[in-house]
Amino acid sequence: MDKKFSGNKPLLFQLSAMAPHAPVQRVISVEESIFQKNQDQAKKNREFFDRRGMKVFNVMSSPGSGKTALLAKILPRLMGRHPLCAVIGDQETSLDADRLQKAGVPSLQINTHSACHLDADRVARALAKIDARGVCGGAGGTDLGGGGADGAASGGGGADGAASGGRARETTDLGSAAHADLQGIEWLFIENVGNLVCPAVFDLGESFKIALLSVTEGEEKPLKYPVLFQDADLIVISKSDLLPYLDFDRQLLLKNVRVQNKKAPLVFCSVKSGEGLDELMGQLEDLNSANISTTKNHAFLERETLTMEKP
Amino acid sequence: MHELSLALDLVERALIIAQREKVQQVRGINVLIGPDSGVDPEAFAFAFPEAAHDTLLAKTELRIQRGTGREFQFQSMVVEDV
Ligand SMILES: Nc1nc2c(ncn2[C@@H]2O[C@H](COP(=O)(O)OP(=O)(O)OP(=O)(O)O)[C@@H](O)[C@H]2O)c(=O)[nH]1
Ligand SMILES: [Mg+2]
Repeated sequence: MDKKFSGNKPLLFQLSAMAPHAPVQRVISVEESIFQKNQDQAKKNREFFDRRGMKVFNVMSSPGSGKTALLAKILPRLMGRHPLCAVIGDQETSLDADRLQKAGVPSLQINTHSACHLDADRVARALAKIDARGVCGGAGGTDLGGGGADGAASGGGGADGAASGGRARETTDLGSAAHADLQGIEWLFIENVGNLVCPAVFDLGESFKIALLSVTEGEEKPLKYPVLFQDADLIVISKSDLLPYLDFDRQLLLKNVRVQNKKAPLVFCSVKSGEGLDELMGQLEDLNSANISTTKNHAFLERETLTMEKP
Repeated sequence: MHELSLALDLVERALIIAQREKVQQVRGINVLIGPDSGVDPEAFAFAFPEAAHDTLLAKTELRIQRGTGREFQFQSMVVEDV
């Protein structure tokens, strides 16, 4: 890439210099974020969640850090206080939604096929699907345990293909449907596709981002994969029961995390020993009552919207 | 490779603008990518022709300017009118 290139003019001049009698060229100034399409849908999602007073947690980590294991452990314990459900993103299979269903958590699987991340539109369509399938049992917050442990509600991986495979041309309007099935739901957990890179840059309209890192992945990950850790509202170091078998340097990890993120609480926990789970649930309650949305990601996007009118 | 889906979004947006402005040719598209955007410029440059394939942008030149922070911006397009 040409580092000396700056602005639009050089390209224009260059082209007209090469072909002086060519058709008239002009520059259309656009000045908008390329994230804008996702951002438009994320905004709709956020408005939808805000209208309903729902808090949404976007859980991200590399594959196998223990997202599903953790959710299957803590969500059943949180359900009594906060009616909740979960949406799980994986490229293929409904294995993880099935695990959560089995733990009694109303869950919907989304399959992204080739995509390595969830985006705001996939989440919007998942919300419609929750409603269509009655994932939460039309509960109004009363019958959440019976969200269909038979697996019907979690949906086969293949069944989602048609809806999630194609790219939507317009943003999905969440205002039109009644979404009765989500009535009374306070918390939505979204388990993103296992990946430390791609999910971090797609705003889903969530209230909070949770980053997981398992102790076996090494202390340097926050330095190598900065964006996810920079934007996290809560950082979970998972599989702490394995620490005795590793040369893991807690202080070094803490230092590396703080290079990227000064504020987010950090919790060591294990679904095997149970360490840190109470603390983690306490942190979720704190986020819930703190009532501030993650906006770091959007601040730089909002100003780049000069040409937003649609034709 | 989230760059491909972002390149598809860019192409979709550029085609909407091209249609609205009734342009005949899109010579170039200028984008700005910062080092902290979470988008890899090389991967994006690689994905763009794939996303533009079989569209009005198939022969469009993608010019990537490096930013300094989190920029990931569709700055402008150089077009020829009907
Ligand atoms: N020792 C130990 N193993 C764990 C812990 N949490 C998860 N695991 C194991 O780690 C493996 C991966 O866990 P998952 O919950 O499937 O991880 P995930 O992040 O949901 O994975 P993907 O959805 O594929 O990205 C499983 O074999 C779990 O049993 C833990 O706290 N301690
Ligand atoms: Mg999982």
